[in-house]
Amino acid sequence: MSADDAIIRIENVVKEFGALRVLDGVGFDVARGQTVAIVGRSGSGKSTLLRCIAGLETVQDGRITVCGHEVGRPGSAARAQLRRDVGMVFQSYNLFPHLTVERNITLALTLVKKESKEAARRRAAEVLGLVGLTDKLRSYPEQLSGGQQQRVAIARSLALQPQVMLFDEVTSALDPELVAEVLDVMRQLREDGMTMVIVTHEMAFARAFANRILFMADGKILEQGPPAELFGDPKTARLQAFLKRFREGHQL
Amino acid sequence: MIQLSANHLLYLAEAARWTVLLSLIAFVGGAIVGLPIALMRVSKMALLRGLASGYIQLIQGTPLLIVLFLAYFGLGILGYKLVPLVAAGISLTIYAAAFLGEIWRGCIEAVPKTQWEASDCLGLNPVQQYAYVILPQAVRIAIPPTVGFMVQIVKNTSLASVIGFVELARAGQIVNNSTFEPFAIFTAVGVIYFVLCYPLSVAARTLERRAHVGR
Repeated sequence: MSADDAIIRIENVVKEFGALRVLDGVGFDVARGQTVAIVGRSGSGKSTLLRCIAGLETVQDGRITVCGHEVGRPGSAARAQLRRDVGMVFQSYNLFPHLTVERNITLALTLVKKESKEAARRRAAEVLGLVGLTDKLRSYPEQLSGGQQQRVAIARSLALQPQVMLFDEVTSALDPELVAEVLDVMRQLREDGMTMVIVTHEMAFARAFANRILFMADGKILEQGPPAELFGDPKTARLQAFLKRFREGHQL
Repeated sequence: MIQLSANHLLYLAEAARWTVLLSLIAFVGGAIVGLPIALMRVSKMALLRGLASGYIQLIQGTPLLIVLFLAYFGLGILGYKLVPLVAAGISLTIYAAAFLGEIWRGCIEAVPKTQWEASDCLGLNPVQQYAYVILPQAVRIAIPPTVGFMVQIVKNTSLASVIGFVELARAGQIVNNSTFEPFAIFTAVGVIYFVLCYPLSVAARTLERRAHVGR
C-alpha cells in the first residue's frame, strides 16, 4: 500500500490511563475502501484504540491521522474537520431518547451542517431507507428493538456522509436473533465502498467480512493480516489460545 | 369562648397570598440563580466548579433564619434598609438557588456520559450539546425532585415572619394576639399550609412514578 492510499494512519500510539498503559505503541494503516476488523480479548485495548481514532480519547504519544488531518490537535476547527470525516457507532447505540428517530438524524444536519429542515428530512428518509427503517421516522428510540436502534444509529452517522465509519462492538448488546440485521447493513456499506474499522467479537463475521484483521493483546497488535492467514495459520501462542477458546465457546 | 370569625379566616387567607407570592419569588429567583450554579458545578473549569461548590456549601451550612437576619437587620445597619418582602425574597432566592443548583447538578450528571460522546461524534459543539441533548433529558429527571423542593420553599417562607413580613404564619400570630385561641388559629394556619403543599407533594410523587415508567 502506498502512503497516499492510507485514509487512516496510526503511528506508534501510546495511551495511558494513570499508571495503566492501555495502548503500547500501536501502528497500522487503513486504505480507502478497506475494512479492518480488530479482535482480541476484553481489556486488550481495541475499543480504546477505536475511541482514540474517533477523537474521544487523547493519546500520550504517537500520531493518528485521518484523511490527512491529525486527530487530537487542539482547536475547534480540527475537531469539526474530524467530525466531518469520521462516523462512530457505539455498542449501546446512544440514540437521543427524547427525540424521534427522524430528529435524531436531522439534529446534526441542521445544527452542524446548517442544512434546511426540508433537506435534512429528505436526507433522514434516504438514510433510513438504506437501513430499511423508513416506517420508523416518527418513533422514539425506546419503541424500537435493539437491532432497529442500532440501525438508526448507523443511519444517523451515515447522514453526515463520513469518509470513515468506526464500529465499536455494535452487536455485543444485541439478542442473537437481532445481530444479523445489523451485520447486513454493514455488509451493504462495505459493498458501497465505505472505509470501516470494526471492533468485534463476531469472529465468523470478521473472517467473512474484513480485508484485514488485527489481533490485539496487552495494548499491542500481536498479529495482522488477511483473515484466511490469521485464522488459518496463527503464528503467536496468544492468538492460537484466543481462537481455540473462541471455537470451544461456539461448540457449546 | 371566642370563636374564629369569618373576618379572621379572611385575614389568614389574604396573608396566605403573600406566602404564595413569596414562594413564587423564591422559586423563580432560585431557578434563575440555581441553573448557572448547576452548570458551574459541572463545568470543565476548576475555578467555576470551586466557586459554585463553595456557595452551595456555605448556604447549605447556614440556617435560613440567619440569612434572613443578615439580609434584613445586617444590611439595615450597613445602611441598606430593605423592606421585609425584598429582604425575604432575596434570602429565599439565595437559599433556593443553593439547593436547586445541587439538585440540578445531580440531574445533569445523571444523563449518561455516552450522550455527550454520541453528540460530540456528530459534531455538536458544547452549547448545542447542552441545549439539544443534555438539558432536555436532565429536565425530565429534574421535575420530580424540583417539585418536591417547592414544598420546602412554601414551608420555609414562614421564617420570613421573624423579620416582620406578614405572611401566613405571622398573620396567625397577629390573630392570636387578639383572640387568644392558639389551638384553633394555628390549626387553621396549618391547614392552609397543607392545602398549599399537598398538591405539590402529590404532583411530585405522580411525576416521579411517571419518570420511572419511562418517557
